[in-house]
Parts: sequence; structure tokens; C-alpha cells
Amino acid sequence: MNTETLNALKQVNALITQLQTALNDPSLTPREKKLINQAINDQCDIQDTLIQDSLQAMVDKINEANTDLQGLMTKMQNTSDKLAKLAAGIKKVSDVVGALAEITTRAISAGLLGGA
Amino acid sequence: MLKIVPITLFISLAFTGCAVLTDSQVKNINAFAATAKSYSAYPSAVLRQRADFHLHSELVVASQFTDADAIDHRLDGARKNYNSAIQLSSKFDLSLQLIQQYAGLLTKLSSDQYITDLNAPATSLGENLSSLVTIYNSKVRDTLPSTLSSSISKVVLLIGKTLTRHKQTAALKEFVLAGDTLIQVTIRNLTTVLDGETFTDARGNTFPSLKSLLATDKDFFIQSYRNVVFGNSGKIDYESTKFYYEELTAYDNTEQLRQAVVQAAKSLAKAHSELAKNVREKKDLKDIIAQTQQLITDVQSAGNIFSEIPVHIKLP
Repeated sequence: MNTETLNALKQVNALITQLQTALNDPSLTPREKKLINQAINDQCDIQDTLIQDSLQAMVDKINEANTDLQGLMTKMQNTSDKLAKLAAGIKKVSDVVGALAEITTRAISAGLLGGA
Repeated sequence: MLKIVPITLFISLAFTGCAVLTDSQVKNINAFAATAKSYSAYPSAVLRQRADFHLHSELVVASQFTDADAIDHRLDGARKNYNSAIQLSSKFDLSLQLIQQYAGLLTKLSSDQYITDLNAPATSLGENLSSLVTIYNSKVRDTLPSTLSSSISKVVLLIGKTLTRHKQTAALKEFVLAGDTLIQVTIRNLTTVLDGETFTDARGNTFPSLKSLLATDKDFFIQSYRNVVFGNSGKIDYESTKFYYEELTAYDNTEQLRQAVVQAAKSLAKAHSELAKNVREKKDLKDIIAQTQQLITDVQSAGNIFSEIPVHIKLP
């Protein structure tokens, strides 16, 4: 079903204001006033429903691409973690080479490895 | 042995390739991300104001009733409607908050953090190699150049930096391009909902935009107030007139706020679109691109309007 909420809302609002004008009539009986109060309330309830539906539709529309955005961010976070791991890996290689150099230095100093 | 250094360097550079983006492109991504991270033009503030207005309108309606049950019914409906609107308002910010998180990740990915992490080990490596060269030279006739240790450590550092930079810039390019489609869709949806007259949902139903809803709310308030308050001479006094004036002023301020939110969102999309256009090809950018500078201005302007919003509108 295709609905046009804005027009419906405008019609309801117009009806409420017409009923409000009618309620200002001093010649109304208490029963008539009560009936008009009730009619205004009914229209206000419809007004609230139309507004709530509109707000919910807005939220749904705005957040349509959120799942895809979240997917992209998960990928970005994983890449960031991988880059950090890569840097850590390079650091490890560098540390190993550094440690080997130190061990070799000490071995040469102690005469365990001879020079030419 | 000395030939190893340039050969290794050449192999490493050939293997890893150069950075996919220039430093100026990375700087631009970083500038966009930093601005987007400080984005504060959230639509929920407009929605909360609108919820306040509608609550006031319902109170005006109820104040005309002569039947206690009818008054209670209206107040109950007003409360439920207000609470629901306030609850929904925070959901209007979700997509922009995600874009902000995306900007945060761009900042992280475009930072020098990964490269900086590589500087420390290369220094200790250089020191250990220096000691080794010194010992080696004291034992052999054919001495090694004293600069060898620093050359090797530079190569290790350069390989690490080149490889990391290559992967970092390739990832940045990929994410900015992939992110652009999503950001354009998200901002288009957001501005369609906040601006224009109506929008259509996935099932083809048409709803009022926030702009139309605010205008309809304002119109209803005016008509209702005229009937309920100005239509009854006993209710017209300074306070009721002052409330009417303040409420209309608040509507206008909220409309101004809505426009600032739309402007900032459009500016965000435009800046990102221009950024994506500028990172498709590797090139030098002379400065921070104009659209990012415009985004900075719009975000600041929206921030100023936001800071002027009263927390609650006074009721008469």
C-alpha cells in the first residue's frame, strides 16, 4: 500500500483545528463538548501515529547503509592490526639480526671466533 | 660485501614497490579525517527540539478540554509520543557516528605510527653492528668501513619503512575509494530525510521530510494556539503572548539548526568525494583541498549554532 503521510498529517491537523474552533462555541452543551474533546483526542492520536511512523521511516532511511559502513570499518581495523603486526615483525627481524651481531661480537672478543 | 647494501636496497624497493600515494595525498586524507572526527552537527539536536515543540502543542490542545478524562488521555498520549521521539532521536546520529568512526580509522591508517615504531629497533641494531665492525677491524687486516653498521641498519629500516608505507598507502587508497560510495549514499539518504519535502521508503511509501514535519508542526501550533488561547479572551495575557513569541522564535532557530546540519552533511560528502577523486592517481597536492577547508568552516559554523540552543524551552 502506498501512503502519502504528509497529506494525511495536514488533513488531520486541519480537522483538529476545525474541531478546536467548534469547541469555542459557547452554545455547546456539556455532552457536545465532551464528544468534541473525544474527537480531538482521536485525531491527535492519529496525528501522533503519523508522526511516529514518519520518524521511524526517517531513521530506517538514514541508517540504510550502516551495515556496509560497519563492514568497511571492520576491514580497516583488520588492516590496521596487520600493519601493526608487520611493523612488529620487522622489529623482530631487526632484533634477531642485532642479537646475532652482539653474539658474534662477544664470540670474537672471547676468542671463540678467530679473525683472518 | 659492501655491494650487498645497494643490491639489497634495490631488491627491497623493487619487491615492495613505492608508496601508492604521495605524502601530500596522505596529508590530505589526514586533514579530512581530523576534521570529520570533530564533526558535531548531529541531527538528533533538531529532533529533540521538535519533540519539545510537539509536546507543547499537545499541552495547548489539552488545555482547551473541559473533560478530565480527555485531558488525561491527551497528556498520556503526549508523554508517550515525546518519549518515543526522544528515543528515536539518537538513532538519527548513528550513520554520522559511523562516518566519524571511519574518519578515526583513516586517521590511524594515515598516521606515522607504524613507521615510528620501526625507528627504535634500527638504532639498537646499528649500535650492535658498530661494535661488531670495531671488533672485526681489530682482528683482520682488511678492515670494514666504520659506516657499514649504519648502512646496514638504514637498509633494514628502509626495507621496513618502504614495505609498511606501501601497504599503508595501498590500504588508504582502497578504503577512501570504497568509503566514498558508502558516504555518498549515507549523506544522500540523510539530506533526503532532513531536507526537501518528502521521501520514499523501500516499500514506496511517502513520508514528510524533517523540514516538512517542522513546518507542519509550526503551522499546527499557530492554528491551535489561535483557537485555544487567542480565541478565548480570558486566556490572553502577557505570559501567554510571550510564550507564543518564544515558541515561534524557537521554531525559527531550530529550522536554522536543521539547515546547518544539512549544510555540514553536504559539505562532509563533498569533501570526501573530492578526496576520493584526488587519491585515484598518485600525484602531488599543493595544499589541503578546498572542500576539506570548507568542511572545517561548516563544521565550526554548525558548532556555533549548536552551542546557542537552549536545553529546554520554558513553558508558560
